[in-house]
Amino acid sequence: MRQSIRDWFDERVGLDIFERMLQKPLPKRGAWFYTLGSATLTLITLQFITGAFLMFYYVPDGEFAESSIRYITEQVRYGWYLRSMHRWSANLLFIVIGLHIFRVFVSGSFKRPREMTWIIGAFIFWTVIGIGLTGGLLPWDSNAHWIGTVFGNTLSYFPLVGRFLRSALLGGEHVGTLTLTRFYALHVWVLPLVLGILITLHLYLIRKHGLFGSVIEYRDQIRALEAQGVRRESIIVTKMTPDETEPFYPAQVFRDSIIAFSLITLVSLFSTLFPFSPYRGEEPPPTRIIPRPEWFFWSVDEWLMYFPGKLIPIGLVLITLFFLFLPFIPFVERHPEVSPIRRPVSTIIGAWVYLFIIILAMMAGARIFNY
Amino acid sequence: MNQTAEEPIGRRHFMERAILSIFGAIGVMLTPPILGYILSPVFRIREDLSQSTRWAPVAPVSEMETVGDLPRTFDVPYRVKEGWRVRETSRQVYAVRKGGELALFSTFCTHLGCPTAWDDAKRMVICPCHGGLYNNFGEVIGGPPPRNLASLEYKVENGVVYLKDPANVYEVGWKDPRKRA
Repeated sequence: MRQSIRDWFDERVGLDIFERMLQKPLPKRGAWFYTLGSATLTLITLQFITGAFLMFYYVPDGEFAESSIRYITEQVRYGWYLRSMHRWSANLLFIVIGLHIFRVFVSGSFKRPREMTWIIGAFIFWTVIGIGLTGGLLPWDSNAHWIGTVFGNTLSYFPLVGRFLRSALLGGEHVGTLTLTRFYALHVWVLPLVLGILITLHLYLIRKHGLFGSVIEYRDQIRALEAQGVRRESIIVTKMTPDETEPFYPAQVFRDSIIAFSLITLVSLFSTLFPFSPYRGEEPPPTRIIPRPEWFFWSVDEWLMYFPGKLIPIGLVLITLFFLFLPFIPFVERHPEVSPIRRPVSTIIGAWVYLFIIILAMMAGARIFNY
Repeated sequence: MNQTAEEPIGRRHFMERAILSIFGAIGVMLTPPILGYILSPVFRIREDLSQSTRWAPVAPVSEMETVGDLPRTFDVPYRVKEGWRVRETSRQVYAVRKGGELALFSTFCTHLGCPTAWDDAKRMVICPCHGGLYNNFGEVIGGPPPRNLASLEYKVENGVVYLKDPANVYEVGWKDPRKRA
């Protein structure tokens, strides 16, 4: 019976493609590190699911947005839970994505022939930032209003096109009625659609090239090849098969499932213990408002503080260049060496950048909470 | 392949060109309307402003006369037109007496537009976002703000002080677009 059902589908769908995917041999060593990507995917999926259901009640209009969220968190059964899941999982997503990028960078997994995987990954990162940014406005409380204002005004400092960018994004020169619907459309449809397409491409490329495998084995093989007199430039990391492999299913799927389960449990636990409910409370008088950006924007917030007056555009352009630079990393560091120890300059720069971002964020946090 | 020399290549070449042209044409047909649609509000900013409150009442002159050389905050209610909606809202302004003359200036920090507040104990205007500091006349004394708090135009009519164009946004950024640089 089971076999005949399988055959029925195989004839019409072609199951062999999927079976080959599941059987794809993967390196055994370091396999737990390679669950960070699937952890990211897990949280993004959770965002799609919880977000879709929040849309059942949320109204993207200045007059009703706040009451509709209040209704979700206070009246709808498990509304507080879904909303908290959406927010906690968003928070966790930025941590996991940061770790994933760091792992890929340090282990040199972006090297030939995986450049496109890295580039699309960078686009995914941009898209996720965009979704986080637009989502922050949707609660439409005073904090959201000022976050939108600060963001729009930040854009306005871009040389030449700044003021145009601000009006194009906000739908006017200030945060208002038209801003909310724009951010809503971007948050729930435009950017998630882009994200879906990018993730599909990312996964296709990962399947094509296989998981990266163990740095240690690659290092030994690069050494052996160099000893044979092979020129470094002509060594392609992917051509080397790590000694020990096993099929993707079930071993890696098992690891991924454990991670997915732990993450969702964690999000669920946080949502239950620290729900984003009741709502942020009564609107404070305008003089008492202290706009607080989401923590994942703290480092940017702090960075911009160090460029006063006429220097503001410089700080802004520098940080934009930093984000624009991310996809080009594979073309800057081109040698085949993948071991973090044997490419110390890259490792140190990467570690310093992360440390710098974390320190900036902590300084911003201290400033924001001590004010 | 039983290919004659020129003909099938020419046909193939033609179709490749045609495919490119077809999708190019589709792109050209769709892009301008979509861009225009998205950017529509950008081109209506002047129009929206002209349908918002032009002169908003701040306070009676008698009350303004009690203002000294330390800024006092006033709530200014006004109507703002945003696309399809006209909305009642309000904003704040500082009033201060500078050299015997009444001056109104914006509460929005010129750095990134956060709402500032007068701190009585520290005797300065403080922006909570990035620590911009201004003195009692709204002049920058510290932090990242690129210029002084924007001075606002007002008029006195029938014993009431009116603020000009409360919905206009020229109070943030390092240039005041009203002034020709």
